[in-house]
Amino acid sequence: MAKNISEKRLKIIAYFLSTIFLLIIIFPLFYIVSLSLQDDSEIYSYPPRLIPREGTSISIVMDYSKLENQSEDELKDTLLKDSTLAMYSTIYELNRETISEVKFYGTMDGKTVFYSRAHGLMLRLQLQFGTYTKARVSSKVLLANGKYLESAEALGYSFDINGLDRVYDTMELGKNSYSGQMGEYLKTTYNTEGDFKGTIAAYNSILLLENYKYYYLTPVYMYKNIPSIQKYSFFAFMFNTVITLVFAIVCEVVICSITAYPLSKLLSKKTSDKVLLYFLVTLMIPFVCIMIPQLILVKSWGMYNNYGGMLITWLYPYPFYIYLFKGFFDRIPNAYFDAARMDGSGELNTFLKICIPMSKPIITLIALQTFVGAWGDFFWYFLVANKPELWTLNVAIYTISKTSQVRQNMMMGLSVVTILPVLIITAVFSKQIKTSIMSSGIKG
Amino acid sequence: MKTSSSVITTHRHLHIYRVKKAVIPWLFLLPGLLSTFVLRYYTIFQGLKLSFYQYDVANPPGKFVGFEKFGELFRNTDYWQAWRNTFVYLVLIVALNFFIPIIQALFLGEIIKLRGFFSTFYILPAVIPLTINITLWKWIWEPEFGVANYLVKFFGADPIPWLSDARWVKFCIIFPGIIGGGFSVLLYLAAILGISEDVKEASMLDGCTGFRRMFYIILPNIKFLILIQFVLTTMTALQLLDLPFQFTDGAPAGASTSLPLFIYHYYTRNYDYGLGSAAAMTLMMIIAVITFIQLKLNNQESE
Repeated sequence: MAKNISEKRLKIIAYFLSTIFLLIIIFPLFYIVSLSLQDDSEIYSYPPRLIPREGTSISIVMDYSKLENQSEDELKDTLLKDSTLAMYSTIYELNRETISEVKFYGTMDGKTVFYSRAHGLMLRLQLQFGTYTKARVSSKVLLANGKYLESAEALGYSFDINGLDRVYDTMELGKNSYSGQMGEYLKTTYNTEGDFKGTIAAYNSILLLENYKYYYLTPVYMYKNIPSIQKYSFFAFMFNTVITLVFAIVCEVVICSITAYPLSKLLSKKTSDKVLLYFLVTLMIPFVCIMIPQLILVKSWGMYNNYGGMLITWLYPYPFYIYLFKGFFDRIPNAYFDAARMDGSGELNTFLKICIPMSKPIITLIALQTFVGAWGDFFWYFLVANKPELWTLNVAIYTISKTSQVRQNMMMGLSVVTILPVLIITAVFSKQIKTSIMSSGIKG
Repeated sequence: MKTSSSVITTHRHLHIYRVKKAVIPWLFLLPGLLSTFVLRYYTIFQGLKLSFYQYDVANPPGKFVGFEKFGELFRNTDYWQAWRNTFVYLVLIVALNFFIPIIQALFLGEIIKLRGFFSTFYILPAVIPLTINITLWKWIWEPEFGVANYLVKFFGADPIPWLSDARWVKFCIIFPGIIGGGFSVLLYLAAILGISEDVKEASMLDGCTGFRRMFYIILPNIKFLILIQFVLTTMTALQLLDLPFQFTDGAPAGASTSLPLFIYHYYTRNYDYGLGSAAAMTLMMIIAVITFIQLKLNNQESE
């Protein structure tokens, strides 16, 4: 009876603690997502926020009936100027609020003639890396050198003198706390031409999800003269990472297995032990000790700043994997190989047709271990390639995080975009991953 | 006539067979032997060579200075500071990171329902890239807006500048590992589940249940795996480079510089390859000594 109680108590505690551990493990992930959905005002708020606020959508309505006499082109130009002023100033002046979306309606005689809409992050991107890079927001700067035309092209707008079918909620017009101050600064600070009618504020969480679209576009804005990033954005870094991962896995599996095979099946024990030692001794050499000589070597081979230099490091067979392969091959009975040899099979053929098909568990394990090692690898790539088109995800994230204009929410947004594919892969293959590690035989 | 020729061919076949038998294993070994030689033996030899030179970037390798660089190194206070930091890192890693996966696996072993569910989530820390984790934690340690200082203030203490505080920076760098998880949990779990049922049942009959069973039956049975993991952890801790580099790059004033980071700084900031290589050689010597001691211990263990 007493036994049962103590076992039961342990079980309850085990469930309880495991749940706590689970929550602790999930917390960083949760916080990454949460930060990526917060805007600048929220990340710089105290106390720190765990749950992001809803996104605010601000619609600005301005009337141009008094400009009836202007030609269509003149009117369009005025509207483009005013919409640029209104949209950027909203982001700039209301920087304490979570403005996720700004809409601009230009009306004339009760019809909507102009409409433009931008996501808050798009406007911020424009201010940080786009049309208005590092510019101060003022009416002079916003309208200088026809920049407002460039900006309007980037944000998108529609204009029709005969009226658009865009309608705003007239009932809500001006019924929010922003209207007063916005009418004031638009008139006095930014000198807009139209008559300010008021604003409409709406709240919507879906707008926050749209953040990711602009996080995805961030590298495109940051690295304007790199074609691959222009075209594929973050997937350019992903592509480099995948290349290194595939190469690493193929090299480690192929070289370690063909090295382990003769050690296990072809050489005498004495020779085999000596050769194995030749490999195992190199485990004692820390990467940092050979980092610079290897860099000098790679440079002398003309492999600096190209894939060759990044990948060459994986040609070195990791001795521990050779050891694991050898241990696995040792357990395959020799009879299989002898039978194949009797049938006149060459050694390479025997290795490929007999040994490899029987070694699926160990191959999966080595592939996984290499994946995890290579996935976190940073320093060598950081040293050997300094061109953005060669960056792996880790190098890209590190370097981007060092850029002064990039804020935490943007970094976390990029991170979410980065880890999402891996999380999905892990979730899909979790069963295989677990079985392969747990049945690996490295039980000590 | 016919027989003798066939004898000769058999002889020749035998000869070819012998040569083949002797050569083929080495053909298999060739790629591995070669790349290991170039990428490890040759490079480490070059490193050793560099440590005897006053490196000259324009005219490498520069002037031969014998053991002068080692003397210079041992007089360098930053070098000893880096060793002290590395030692603190080692202690922190063992205290804050090493035991967590063992504890997690021990409790996971007691769970039958939902074990698969839990263990899937335990893999997560292994697939989140280090760089992302570091970027997140830098924000958590942020003095003004970070969660860490929020908690500190919540409990009524004075806020701490964390990463810019020489006393706390090493703790901040190692602490994120406390969430545990990763593949080592699965390795421990496999070892725990591998303990034979007979042993467990016998212990139950002897009245060794609950936590007592955990301490007196399960832990001793996975002792060997714990030892191996401990060796690996020690090695990783001595080679700590990415973490301090990405977190603070040695700031404030070298308080977070591990020995590998010290070496890296001498390579990249001062281009003093001689001094950097000399430091690298001492690091390798220490690691070799530790490996040797551990091999001895392992042998005693198995005897």
